[in-house]
Amino acid sequence: MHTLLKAVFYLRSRVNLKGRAGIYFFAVLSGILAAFVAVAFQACTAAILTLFTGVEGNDAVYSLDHAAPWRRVFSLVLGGVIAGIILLFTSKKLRERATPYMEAVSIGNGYIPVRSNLLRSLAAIVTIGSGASIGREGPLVQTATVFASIFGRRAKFSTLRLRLFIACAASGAMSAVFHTPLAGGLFVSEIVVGTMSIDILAPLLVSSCSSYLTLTVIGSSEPLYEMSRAYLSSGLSTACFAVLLGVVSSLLAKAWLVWLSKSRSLLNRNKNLLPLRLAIAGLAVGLITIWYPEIAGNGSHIIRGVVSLNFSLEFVSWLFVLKVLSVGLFFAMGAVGGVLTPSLTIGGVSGFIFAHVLIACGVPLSQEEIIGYSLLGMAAFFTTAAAAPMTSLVLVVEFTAAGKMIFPLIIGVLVSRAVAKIFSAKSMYEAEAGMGLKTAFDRPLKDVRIKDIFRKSSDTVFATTLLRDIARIFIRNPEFAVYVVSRSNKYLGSILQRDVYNFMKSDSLSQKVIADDILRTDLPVLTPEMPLIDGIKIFTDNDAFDTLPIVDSRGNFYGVVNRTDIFMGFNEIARRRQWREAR
Amino acid sequence: MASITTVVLDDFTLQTDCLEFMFAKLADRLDEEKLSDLKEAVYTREDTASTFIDEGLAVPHGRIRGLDEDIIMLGISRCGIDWPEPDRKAHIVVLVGVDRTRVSAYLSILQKIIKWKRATKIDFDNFDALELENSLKEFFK
Repeated sequence: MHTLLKAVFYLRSRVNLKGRAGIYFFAVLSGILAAFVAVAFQACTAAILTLFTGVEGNDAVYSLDHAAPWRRVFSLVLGGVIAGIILLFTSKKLRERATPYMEAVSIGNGYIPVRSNLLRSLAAIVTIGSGASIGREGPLVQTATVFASIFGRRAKFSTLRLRLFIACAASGAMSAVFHTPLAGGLFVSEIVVGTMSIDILAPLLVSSCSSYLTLTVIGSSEPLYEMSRAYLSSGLSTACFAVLLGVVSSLLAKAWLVWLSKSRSLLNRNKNLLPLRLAIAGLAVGLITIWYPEIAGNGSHIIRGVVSLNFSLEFVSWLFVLKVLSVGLFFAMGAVGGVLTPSLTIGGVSGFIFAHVLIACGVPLSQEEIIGYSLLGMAAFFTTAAAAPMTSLVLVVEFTAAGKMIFPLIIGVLVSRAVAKIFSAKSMYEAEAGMGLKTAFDRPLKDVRIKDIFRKSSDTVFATTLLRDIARIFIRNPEFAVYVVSRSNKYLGSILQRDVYNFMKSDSLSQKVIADDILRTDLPVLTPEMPLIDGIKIFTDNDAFDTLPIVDSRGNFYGVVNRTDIFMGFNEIARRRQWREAR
Repeated sequence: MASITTVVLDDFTLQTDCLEFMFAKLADRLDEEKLSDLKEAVYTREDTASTFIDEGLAVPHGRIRGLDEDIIMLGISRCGIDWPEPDRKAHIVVLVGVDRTRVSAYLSILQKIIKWKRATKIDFDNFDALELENSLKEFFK
């Protein structure tokens, strides 16, 4: 029994789930969670699609194409009305605001309201399931992060750790949606978290890989648009055309963002009319689908058609115009959905048209090159739209398996980024990421306090608690220390794991030694009002301590702060300052 | 290594008297301030919870600042000392003083004392104090 206890304690002490390494364990969990949420979400939209159109399947274009014309209109109008009623109910009856996960990760406290967000997810499922021209990735990722937020709060994660955990879930969900483990991690790191440091990126990638692996077990993880035929040479002429397409795509993306923003500000005003507005959007798009069912759904059908050269230039040009209109209409009317895939679609179509313009100008292009320019347009367009060059590059390469044309892709993406900078294009995710909102980390470093990053600790004991019970706490939760408090919550001292580690096996001591015997009072103590910078100095001066207690002015135990959190807090302040200065 | 000394406590039946006697014996090893600190620590610890263990053993102890050497004083009582109630008779009282920061050392000392007590048969009607002291020292070698 003692050997077992010792072995368990040894293992738990080596795998401290609240320590730095613990985040990787939770990253794996979040990835699995995200994959299941993704599969469930897609199953729900498929069920709605089948119910509304009467055609079995999970592809909106296929179902609408095989449904009677009246049924197409009916499906989209019904979806709009139901989604509108759900959203109206959410805004009227629930006081809590449906915090976007991007805001919760980038600047929030990691709390994502459950009811309002799940209702919005339901509205999104109905909208997407009805065949609306809108992406599914946004609400799907949001749904996964709601569950991650619930889990993280129950596990009593610190704010910064909770945010990272939610970011991991978002990464896993992105990976599950696009079957792109690398791009999933990069998307969240670059767009949501805003930093590409390995400390952040590594857990995100662990989560996205875990999600991808789960998907291979419970579903399919094949590349969405495998297009190994795509090819662009690395010659000078291709480089010049890549620069030109980079400029064109960036300008188009800028226009796309303006279109989305203006249409939404113009039409999305009166919340009481949400069911009516979404019904009108459904009616308009439903009528278009009678002739062009390809504009239904998120646009993946169009991408497949473009990269497999199944569509003529004239047909694609029509789809381009109608897709821009239909996505803008749903977005403007207040539908809950993503614009990532629609943006990729429009980018891909613009690249396809660009290639045909080159042909018309006398530039001979092979079929492989036409596909290559379509993918280049996709990457360059998304670079400006999402302000994320790395993600765009990797996303397109990963889900098309078109790695051999990486050189022109890099050129197109970089040019697009440069043009976006020149024209100060804002990312379509900027509002959701909530960078405009003020938090503690927006203050100057000297004004941020320890209380802004503290973590509540349940690992407290009384002076008379037996060593046996203290050992149980360390086994259950191998923190750096357990804190000794009086009955009135006065801080008395800390018990360090390393002090008692070798005595866990001792039967003779377990019921003889009490907390008072082994507590230390020589640990530095922080106060809630202490500036963060002073806390950093204390941690720097005391290398041996991973976690320190926080005690208020009356001597009451307030919580703890650990080394990782305090330095992550510092990074957050620096990152936000850079962000402000860049603008 | 800790220095171990032995005292016979046959003249006492009360915990306080016993402890005061033992503290007095430490007067030549500790300066006044440290002795005072140790007293306070020991009494505070007894107030928090009795240090009576079992089988007639009590280990009053305190951790104080600036103690250069661990202190272990073995006290033996034939009649037993109320620790502090009459139903808890301490025949062996080991006063321990260690530096505030030496938590592991304290646990190690306590562990050895308990093991020594379990391994040593003591006839309280007829014992040799020096022999007991030597056997305890053996555990600390």
